[in-house]
Amino acid sequence: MNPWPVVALPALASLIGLFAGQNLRDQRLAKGLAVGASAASLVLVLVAWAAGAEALEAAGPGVAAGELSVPLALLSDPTRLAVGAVVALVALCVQAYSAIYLRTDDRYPRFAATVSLFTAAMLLVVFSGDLVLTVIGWEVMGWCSYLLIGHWSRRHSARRAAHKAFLVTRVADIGFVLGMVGLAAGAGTTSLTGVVDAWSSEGADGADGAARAVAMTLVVIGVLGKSAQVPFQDWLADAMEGPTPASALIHAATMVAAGTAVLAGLFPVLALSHPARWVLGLSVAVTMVLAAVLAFAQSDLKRLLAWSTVSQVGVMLSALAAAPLAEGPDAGLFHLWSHAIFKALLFLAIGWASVIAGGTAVTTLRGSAAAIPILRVSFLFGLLSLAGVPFVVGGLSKEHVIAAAWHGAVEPGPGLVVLVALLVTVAVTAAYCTRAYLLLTAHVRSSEVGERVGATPVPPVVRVVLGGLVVLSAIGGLVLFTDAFDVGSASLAWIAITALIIAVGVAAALRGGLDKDPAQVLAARLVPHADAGLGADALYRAVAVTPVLALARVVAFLDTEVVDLYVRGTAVATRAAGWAGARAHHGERPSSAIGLVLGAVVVLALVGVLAS
Amino acid sequence: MISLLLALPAAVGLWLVTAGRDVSVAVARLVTAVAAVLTLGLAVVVSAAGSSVDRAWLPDLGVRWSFGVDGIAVPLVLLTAAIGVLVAAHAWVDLPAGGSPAAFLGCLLLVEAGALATFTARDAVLFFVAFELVLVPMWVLISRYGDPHDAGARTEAGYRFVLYTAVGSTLMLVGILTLVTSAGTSDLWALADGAGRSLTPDRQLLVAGLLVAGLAVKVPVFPVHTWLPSAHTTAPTAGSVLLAAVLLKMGTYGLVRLPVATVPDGFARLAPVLAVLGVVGIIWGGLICLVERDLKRLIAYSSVAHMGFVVLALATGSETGLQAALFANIAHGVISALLFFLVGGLKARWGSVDLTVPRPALRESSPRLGFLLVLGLAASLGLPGLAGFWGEFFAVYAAWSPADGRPRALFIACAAVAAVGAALAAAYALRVARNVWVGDALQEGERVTPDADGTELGILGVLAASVILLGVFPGIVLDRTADAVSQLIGTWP
Amino acid sequence: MTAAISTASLVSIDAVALAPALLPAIGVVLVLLGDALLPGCRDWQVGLGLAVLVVGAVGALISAVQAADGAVRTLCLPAPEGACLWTASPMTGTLQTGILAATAAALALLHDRDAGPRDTTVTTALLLAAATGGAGVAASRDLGTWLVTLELATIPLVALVALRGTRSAAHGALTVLVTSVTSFALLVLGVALWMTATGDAAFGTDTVALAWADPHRRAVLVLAAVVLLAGLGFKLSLVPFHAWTPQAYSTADLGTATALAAASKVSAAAALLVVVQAFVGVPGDLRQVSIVIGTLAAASMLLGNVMALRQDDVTRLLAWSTVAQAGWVVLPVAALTDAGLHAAAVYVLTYAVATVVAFAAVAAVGAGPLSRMRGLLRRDRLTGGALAFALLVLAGLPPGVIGLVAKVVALRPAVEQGLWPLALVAVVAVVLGIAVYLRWFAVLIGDAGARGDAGEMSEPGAATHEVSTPASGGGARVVLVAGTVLLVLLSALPGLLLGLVS
Repeated sequence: MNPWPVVALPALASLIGLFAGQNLRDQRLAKGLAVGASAASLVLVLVAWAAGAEALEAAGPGVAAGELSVPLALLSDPTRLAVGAVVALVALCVQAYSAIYLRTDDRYPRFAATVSLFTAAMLLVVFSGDLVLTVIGWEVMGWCSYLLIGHWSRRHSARRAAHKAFLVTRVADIGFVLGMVGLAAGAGTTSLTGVVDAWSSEGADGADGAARAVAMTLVVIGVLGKSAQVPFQDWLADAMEGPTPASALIHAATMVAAGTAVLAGLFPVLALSHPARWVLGLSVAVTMVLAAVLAFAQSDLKRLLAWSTVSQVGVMLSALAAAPLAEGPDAGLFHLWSHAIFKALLFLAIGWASVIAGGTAVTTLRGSAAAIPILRVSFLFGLLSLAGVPFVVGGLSKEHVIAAAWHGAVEPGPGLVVLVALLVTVAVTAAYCTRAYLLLTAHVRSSEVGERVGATPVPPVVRVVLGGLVVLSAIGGLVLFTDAFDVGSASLAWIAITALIIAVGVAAALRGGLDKDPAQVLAARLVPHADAGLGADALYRAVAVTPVLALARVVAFLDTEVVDLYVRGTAVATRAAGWAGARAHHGERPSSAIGLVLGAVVVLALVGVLAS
Repeated sequence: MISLLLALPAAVGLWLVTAGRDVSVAVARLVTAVAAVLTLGLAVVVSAAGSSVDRAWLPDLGVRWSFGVDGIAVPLVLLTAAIGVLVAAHAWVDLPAGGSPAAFLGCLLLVEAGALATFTARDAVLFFVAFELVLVPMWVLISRYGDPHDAGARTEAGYRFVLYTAVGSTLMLVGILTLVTSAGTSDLWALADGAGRSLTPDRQLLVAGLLVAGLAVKVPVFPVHTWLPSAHTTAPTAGSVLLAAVLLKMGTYGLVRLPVATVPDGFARLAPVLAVLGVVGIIWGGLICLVERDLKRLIAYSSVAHMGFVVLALATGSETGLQAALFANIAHGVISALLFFLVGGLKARWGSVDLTVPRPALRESSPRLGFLLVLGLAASLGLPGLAGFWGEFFAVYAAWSPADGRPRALFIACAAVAAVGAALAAAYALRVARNVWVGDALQEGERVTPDADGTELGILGVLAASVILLGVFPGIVLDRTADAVSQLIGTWP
Repeated sequence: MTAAISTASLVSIDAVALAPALLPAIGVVLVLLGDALLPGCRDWQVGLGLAVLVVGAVGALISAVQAADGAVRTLCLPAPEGACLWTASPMTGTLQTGILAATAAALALLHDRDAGPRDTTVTTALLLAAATGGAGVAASRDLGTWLVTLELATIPLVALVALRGTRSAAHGALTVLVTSVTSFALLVLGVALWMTATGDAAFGTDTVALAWADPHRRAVLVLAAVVLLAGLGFKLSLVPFHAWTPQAYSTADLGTATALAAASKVSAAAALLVVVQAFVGVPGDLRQVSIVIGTLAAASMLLGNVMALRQDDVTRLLAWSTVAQAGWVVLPVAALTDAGLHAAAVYVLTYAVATVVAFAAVAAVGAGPLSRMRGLLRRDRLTGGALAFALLVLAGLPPGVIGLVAKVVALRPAVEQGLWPLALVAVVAVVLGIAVYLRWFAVLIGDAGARGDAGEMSEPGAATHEVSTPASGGGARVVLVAGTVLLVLLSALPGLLLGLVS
């Protein structure tokens, strides 16, 4: 099936929404447009997927760019369809959810349109068969994230967060764009298949190898930025300033996961360039552990989820960093798939919990889900998946990632490091999941909870959305029985080991008993630093912002005072010359005398010069 | 047909200028608008059907009165004519004081005519004459109708513009004469078809040096860009738009037409220098935009940065590079026009566009202006899907794989720096957005900025639409220029 | 020329060819006779003078067009290959046209106002005499005629300057007199040296070639050329022989100034071309001559513009602009090619027309400080427009296309011969020139009272100068209109002028 409509529908909806939406007094059209478009693209993808479509390349509007051939084609195969399906699904959930969540927001139409554009961009990246298209989707997502995070632009913190998110990712994109350009330059085309053939056929040694290593490393840097991996990790937690549906979208199915999709497309090349893999492997190894620890110590549950995303994206990428060439990238993609489901579930659930409780801080949210079954179930299954308990979708995918890392550990490359980091992460993840569940379902005095719940009943749409996601996160693993993800079978031994590790984590979290906050028990001193993201923000300022601004001031000074000097200099010189001339020609008769004398002198001088 | 295309705006413009106060504002507006629209129509016809005129002009110098269009000229001709219509329409939004409206509009038309003549001239000397044609009217626009607040600055900016660019164009004239006298013909087509390459390498280098040095002023290339900020800042809105959208293009077009096409070998020897200057310009402009206080100046400096991309692309000498340069040319024309119309409107509303002055956020007080501003900023930071992206992406690509014989390592370094420049663009675009677009909710009784509507909204809307159109369908331009470019490169040895 | 000799028809006297010089001469006689016979009424003389000049100009034009194939030669010695005293090539004819027309304009301006000079007879006669000389020198090829006619073309103007009678005018006249005497001395010396170097009483290429071949004679020849150039430098007011120009212009009345600025410059240029013509096509390395000419050109262009930029009095400004433009006239000559000579002719004619228009405009408004012109374009659109156009032509900016083309034409030979330093100086000069004329232009379009239109250069308070009523009658207008029409025509079809010259 041709994937163009899948991408085009949301894009079109967003265009209409952007230009017309704001002018419509009632927001019904905007809602219909947004939800309808995402639903339509979901249906299209599902139909194609169900039809068991073969891999095909859908030609695009090629661009005449001289020597470089830019076909701008899309690719469609079961894996892409599966990922696309989950993207469209999450998008649909988010649209439906935010239609309720933001019904009182005067800028809802813009929000919905931006979400549609965001979806379109992510779908473009997923189905992209052309580096340029990948870059396009990639950058557009970045811009949409700026708009979404800064949606409540009347709040200073939101403005700042949006600004920071875009700039950090954009800085990383320097590498991404350059890497893509390098790959395209080597292949003479931007077609993904062409690039992969060109670079994976050449030997890994010599100039080609070096060029490939450079290009892929640059791409990896870009990916690290978008996926909020060390050292770019700090923007994502701040991004919580956006409305919760936006966070759900950014964290679950789009932005941060995009890197995995891109690298999966380039996996054959990536697997051959070890420096790039080392960079990726080390970064994700550090990130997943660090982020998990930070998540555990957050005093704000939404930020806890944010850091868990950082950690889980590290898990996805670790599969790509460690998996052997033969095994392929599908373990990572599968984890992307499952993560999309359970992370969307968690965010949407906590979003509603915060609506009820009126905040996302631990103190506010404490016990908010206790009295509301649907929320309790959602959190239960979501956190189970997140913790990677066997046989729920998150567990299955994590098993395969670990298996991939295990196979990769025996090969040259960062496999071993990654494997160790994964195991540690599993434990910590289990710990903070336990913590989150304890806090959300803690038994506080039921009276206030009761009246809060009475004040804001959960609307049916939200119930449906959450319920659907719960079911998927329970039985989503069945996708393995389709041809979507080509992953080996996870060995029972590993399942047992991970179960054990998880148990350790849970036990650790429960040391303080059921009614205490494990963070206070285990890492009370860490909490403030964790909330501050370990001061990464200050680090960014010191390393990047301040020097650049200083340089800018210097340049501005040079521009007006030095570069422009020769211009003003000529003017001054001219005036001076004129003044001197005026002095020479002052008065009436003397002037002619001067002229004559000068004349004679010059005549003689010339003669003297020339006669020689 | 093409003669009519050139004669119409010129004649109407001259008439308006000479008529001065005799013509009422209403009539002047109407006449200008009609003339501009007709010119656009003619431009479309000429571009579609192709038309050329060729008769003797200065037989003793072998200079011919020869105009015509090819794939390289067509997009610029259309851009110029379209911008002409928009500035004519803008007369209903804002007519600067300082002289008679008729003269003002006449000058606009004269500038348009001069630009059209420059883009269609097929004779080197004729090209120079057309190149000079815009000087006086633009100077009048700046020094008479410019920023009413500061007469001294007006005069200074006017002289700076005209003298600075005159240095450039006269250097270019010396280059042209050297080329013409040593090649024996002044026909640009003949020169491109080999008459130019028959020169000795050193002569080619000399010619290329003179031409590049001259045209660099107009583009402008760092470090001869310092006329641009004052001119853009001082000129009336319509003037800034013409400056940014049309006049700068004359420089890049000249680079393509003269040195690149006629003396490629000489140009190739200069290319590394030019590339480095281009990227320096990218970084230089971007950095200044991070601290510049006056929004109009900021946009002007961002023009320096964007033109840096064009120059870099030209320097690579590859087909992709030329395509990128030509596209970036058009894209920058549209984007800068949009931004200058916006900023001009803001200046008219606020009196000044000092970024440090706290004002009600546009997103709150006038959402339409705000939306268009953000669109323009996004386009100028090279966001895909908008016009700015393609030119800059392909420019970076071209720099990464330049034509044979260029120092590859140097050009790859330039590509990297250019990419950094793109990040800088994001930084300053967001800086503007943060200062002007977003902000706290309006307090009660706070003076709000009147939003754009009517003609102004129409103008801005057209530009915004074309920004998106060019971004989504770059083929509109790239397919036009492709053949001409490959022919131009193909004729190289 | 050498080619022309062989094909030349041996005619003793060709009245038609001589008309440009003969008619003014006859005019002089008639005027003087008439004044002697019937003193009292004297208005007719101006009319007569104008008629004579115009007819002569037309005649010269016709001969220029006719002589397109070769050179019309007359006053030849009745021996085969005998030298001819009068050789009218197309360029000559065109230059003569320019001289006569410019003189006519000067005459018109001179007697335009009632407050003009008292003695119509003398002034008319003097101007006619100057015209005769100019027309003669343009066509002369032998040293004697050349020297005499050249002096005839300039001396009368000294008298005109003096005639005004005011004290300052006397100063000016004195300066001019001293200058021209010096220049005359130099010229005589130069001619003598030339004779000794070439042993030829005419400016002949072949004899020059012979002289150049021999080192010793070459030195003398170079010296001769240098001295001749110095002498001509005074008449062309080239730096460093220019000092008299500003005073003379500002002290003389506008008509005389016009004659000095336009007619006599064309005559001097014509004389220069006659000399340089002899060097064109001479085998060997003529760099020395090039350098001499080039130095003069560069110095004039630079100093003239720089000084003009400071002037606040319109006539002085025009004087300095003359100096700068004289440099432009000489610039192509330095190339020592036929193209260069033609370029010089084209340039000097363009300059002459534009200057005449400028002076006519000044006459219409009344001389004085620059600030008096403020807002002229709005007050008096005809005068203002004409002046503005003339300024653009002088600056070489479109729509004054002819000015731009003239600069291109002038620059081309220099570039062709690879005189790079000169070309670069020219670049600077172009920019300075634009600054000079745009400064004036800015005053024209400025609205009266508004400050800062002419920029920091127009001194504050300039507008508070007392404004003497410009008592200009029809004459200035006619000259104004005629000149402007000519400029516009040439700007539309620059080919006309170029075609006439070559």
